[in-house]
Amino acid sequence: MVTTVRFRLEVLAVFLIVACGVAVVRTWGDEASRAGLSDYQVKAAYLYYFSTFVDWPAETFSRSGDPLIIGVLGEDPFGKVLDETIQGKTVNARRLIVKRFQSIKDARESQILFISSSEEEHLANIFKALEGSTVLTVGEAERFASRGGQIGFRTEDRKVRFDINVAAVGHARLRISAQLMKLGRIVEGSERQGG
Amino acid sequence: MASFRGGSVKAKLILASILSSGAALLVVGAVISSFDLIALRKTLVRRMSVQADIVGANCLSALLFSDAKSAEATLGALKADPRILAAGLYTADRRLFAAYSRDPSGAAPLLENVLSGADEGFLLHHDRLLLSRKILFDRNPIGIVLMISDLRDISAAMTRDVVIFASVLAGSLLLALVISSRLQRDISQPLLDLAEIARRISQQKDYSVRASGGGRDEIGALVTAFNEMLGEIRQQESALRAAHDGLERRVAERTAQLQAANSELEAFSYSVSHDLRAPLRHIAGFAEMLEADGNGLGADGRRYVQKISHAATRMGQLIDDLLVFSRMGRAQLQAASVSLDDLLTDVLKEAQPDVKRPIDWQIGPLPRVRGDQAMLRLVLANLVSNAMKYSGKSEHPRIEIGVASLENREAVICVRDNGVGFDMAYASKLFGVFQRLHRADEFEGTGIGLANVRRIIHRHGGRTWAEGQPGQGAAFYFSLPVEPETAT
Repeated sequence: MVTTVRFRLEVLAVFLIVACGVAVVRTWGDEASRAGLSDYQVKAAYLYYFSTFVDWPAETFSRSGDPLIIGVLGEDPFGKVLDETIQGKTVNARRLIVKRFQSIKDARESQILFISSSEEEHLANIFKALEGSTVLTVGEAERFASRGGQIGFRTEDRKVRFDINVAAVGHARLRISAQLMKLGRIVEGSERQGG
Repeated sequence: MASFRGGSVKAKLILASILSSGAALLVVGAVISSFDLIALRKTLVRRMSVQADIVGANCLSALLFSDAKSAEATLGALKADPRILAAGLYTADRRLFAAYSRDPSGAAPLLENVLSGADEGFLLHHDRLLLSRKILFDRNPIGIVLMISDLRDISAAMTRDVVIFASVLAGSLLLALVISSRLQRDISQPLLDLAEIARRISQQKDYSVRASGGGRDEIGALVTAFNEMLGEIRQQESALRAAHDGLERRVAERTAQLQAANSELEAFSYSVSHDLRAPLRHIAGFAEMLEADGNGLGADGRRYVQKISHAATRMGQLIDDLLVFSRMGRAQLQAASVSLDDLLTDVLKEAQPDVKRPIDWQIGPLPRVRGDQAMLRLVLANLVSNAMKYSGKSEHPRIEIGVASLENREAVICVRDNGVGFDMAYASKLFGVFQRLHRADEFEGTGIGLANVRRIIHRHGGRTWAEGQPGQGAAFYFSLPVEPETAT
C-alpha cells in the first residue's frame, strides 16, 4: 500500500547542470563595484540597462534597423568604459552605439543623453533645447532630476542610485518600466522648463 | 464429512472471487494513485516554476541595479501565498542577495544548503518542494530564485486518498463476499446434493434415487451423467438378480428331480433286495433240508447242494448289506454330540482279533463330534474291521487310530494299518459299492463297507480318502465337523 506521500530525496533530487555563463555582464552590479569597479563602469552599465527599461515612442526611430544612440554631451568621463560596456549589445534588435556631442543641437538625434558635469551651468539651456524631443536625459550633476533632467545619478552608501523625474519623463513622451521606477527615487521637477 | 467437503468447495469459490477482485482493485488503486502522484508532482513543480519565474522577472531590475531592498520587497509579496515557506534571490555567483521567510527565524541557511548543486532544478523532500530557477537578462543568467513550498496540504490530500481507497477496497471486498456467496450456491449446491446422494447410495444401496438440479453447465452435465450411471447400475443389478433367481430356480428344480430319481432308485433297489430275500430263503431252506436229508444224494449231489446253500447264504449276506447301505441313504440323521473315543472303545470291545497274531494298537485321543451315533459307530466298525482284516496276515499287525489334523473346526481321523495295502491307481474305486481290490477267497467281505463309510461321512458333511502302497499298508481318512465346545 502507498501510505506515504513523502518524496524520497534520492529519487526526486533533480538538478540541472547549467553551463554557467562566464561572460555575465561584466560591469554588473553592486558586487562588481565592490570588487573594484569604478563608479563610471557602474554608470555605463546602468545606461545600458536604462535602454532596456524605457520605451520610446514610435516616431523616435525613422527606420526599423536604426541603432539606439547613447550620447555623451560635454566632457566624457567614461573614457573607453562606455564603449566596452555596450560592445555588441542590442536592445529590441537595435544595435547600441555611443556618440559624443559638443553641441546640444546635434545631441537631439540620440535616445539616451548623458549630460556631463561639465555642462552643469548650461543645464537650463540644454533642457530647453531638447524641448519636444524624445531623449532620455541622464546626468550626474547635483539635483539633476529636480532641475529638469529625467534620471539623475547620485551616490548613497557608496552605491550608485538614481532619481527619476516622472514629469520630465512624461514630457518627453517616454515610458519607464515599473521595474525601473520602483528602484529610483521619484522627485518633483521644481524648475520645470517650457511647461 | 460431506458437508465439510462441500464447505471447502464453497470457501474456495468465495476465496477465489474475493482474492481476484481484491487483486484487481489493488492493481487499479496502485496504478491510479501512482499516476495521480506523478501528475500531482508535475503540476506542482510546473506551478512553482511559473511562480519562481514571475518572482525572478520582478526582481530582474533589482538585481541589475543591485537594489536588495527592492528585491526583498518583491519577495515579501510572496506572503500572500501561505504555502510558500521561504524564498531567496541569489546572484549568479551564488551569493544571497535577498531572502524571504514566512517563519522569521532564518530560512536562509537552508537555502544555502539546497543550492549546492546546480542553478536550476527541484527537490521534493520531507513535505517540502525546493525549486530553483535562473533569472536571465539578455540571455545571460544574472541570478537564481529559490523557493520552498509546503506540501503538507498535498500529503493530507494523498492520505485522504489512501483512506478513501482503503475504505472503497474494504467495501468492494464486502460486496464481492456477498455476491460471491450468493453466486457460489449455484455451483456448490448441486455438488453438495450430488455428494449427499452418492453417500446415501453407497450406504443404502438404493439405486432408484436420482440427483436433481444443475443447469445447462458442466455441473448439469455431471448430474445427468451421474443419473444415467445410476440407471445403468440399476438395470444391471436387476438383470443380475433375474439371472441369479433363474439359476437358483433351475438348481432347485434339478435338485428336486435328482432327489426324486434318487429316492425312486433307492425304493426300487430296496424293494428289489427285499423281494429277493423271500425266494432266496426258499432256496436256502430247501438246500438245507436237502443237506439234512442227504440220503437220496450222491457225493456229487451233496457237494452241489452244499455249494447252493453256501451261495444262498452269501447272497443273503449281500442283500442284507445292500439293504443296510440303502437304509443309510434313507434313514434320518439323528444328530447329537458323539464322543468318538467312547465309540471306538465300544467298537474295539466287539472286535475279535486273531489270537495267534496279537495286534499292536496305537490309539490316540479322538475329538467329540456332532453326528448320528449309530452311523458313526458303523464307520468306525467298518474301518477297524477293514484294518484288522487286511493286516491279519502280517507278521506283526499294527493299527494306528488318531487325529491327523484338527483345524477350521474340522477333524480328520486316520485309521492306518500295516497290511497288504493297495495301488494308489485304484484309490478312487475303494469307496464304491461292491468294489474289491482283492479276491473274495483272499479276504472275506462283500465290498460294501467302505461305500457305507463314504455315504455316512458325506451325509455328515465330511470327506473320505485313502492312501496306500501295495505291501506297505493303507491309511483311511475321514473328516468330520467338530463340536464347537470341544473344538480346542
